[in-house]
Amino acid sequence: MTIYSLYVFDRHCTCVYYHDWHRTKRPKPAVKDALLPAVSRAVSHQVSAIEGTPTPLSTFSSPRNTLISSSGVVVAVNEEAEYTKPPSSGGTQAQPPVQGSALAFDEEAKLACIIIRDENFTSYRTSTYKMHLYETPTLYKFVLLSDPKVEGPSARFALRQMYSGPFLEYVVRNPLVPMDSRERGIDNEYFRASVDRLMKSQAFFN
Amino acid sequence: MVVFGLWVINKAGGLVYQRNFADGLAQLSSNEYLVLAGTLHGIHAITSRLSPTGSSSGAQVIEAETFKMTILLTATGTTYLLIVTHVYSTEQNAGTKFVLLTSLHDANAEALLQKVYEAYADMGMKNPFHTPEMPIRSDRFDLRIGVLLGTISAPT
Repeated sequence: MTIYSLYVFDRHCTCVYYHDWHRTKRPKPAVKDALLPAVSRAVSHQVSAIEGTPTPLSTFSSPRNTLISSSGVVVAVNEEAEYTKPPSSGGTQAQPPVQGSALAFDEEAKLACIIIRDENFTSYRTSTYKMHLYETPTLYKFVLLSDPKVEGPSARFALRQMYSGPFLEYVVRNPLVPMDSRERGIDNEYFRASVDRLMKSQAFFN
Repeated sequence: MVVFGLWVINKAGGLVYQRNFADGLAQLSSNEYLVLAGTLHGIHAITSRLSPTGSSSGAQVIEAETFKMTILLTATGTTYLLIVTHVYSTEQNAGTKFVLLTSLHDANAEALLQKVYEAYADMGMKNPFHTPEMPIRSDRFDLRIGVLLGTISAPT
């Protein structure tokens, strides 16, 4: 059992936060202006990519970076970042990136938003993943994609914990985060670290 | 388990069969049913695109606070069968017992859908007067579905 990714949508159904863990099929970075700033560095529009220079992996060298797992093994890489990898690391440890028609992140967020908008479901399951939805009274929507075997109640409990813990502490009570601005996401270092800690402490994380 | 309703949706997203078995569903006009079926068809397609790990099927089970939908996409890709079942009351919403209950019901609903699919193959597809992708109007199909689901959905 594992978890793949986490999205937070505000009441306008705009993606304001994104975090991923064991994802093998990565989204392409969002196109320019399609995603608010401060959602997630890993999937934001990258200026260097447009200029044709590959994005160095060192951009994501922070411990909170989702491109590199805590064990130091590359779990997934962007197509742009693929050839910056030293050839020796492409051995048995690193999983090959899944080829195929990966969606750009902004498209992916829009599709997720279509599904959860005005809907009252708590989870759905497909053959390879399960989506859990937790909606706060202020209409923030927390969306967790996990392995299909994760039980709905425990995942929703984790989302609720995330709302009452990191979200309230580092977003709602943080004067530097503009809530409901439609101009910026809610990503900040403390929130990301705290969410990361919370999710890694869940029984279904590994 | 209470079965509330059964829908059969063709590959274009049109509703070809719809029947309610228990009280408690909102009374909708046939137009509204058609719109909902089309919506489900779209949602089903989107859910397979959202997969974080490789290719995925569309949604198979959709759970809400008070009900559960089980969706079977047949091998020919032409037909979705859908059962809406009542899984648990909201009071039972926490604890281990609930987990057991749902997984039990899980197996039930899926096995049931397979039986419905058999009935569809027998009474729908083998019927020379039935046009594929068109609404199913067959008394024998109705009867068999009634026997299959009507008895189960009797409140226990």
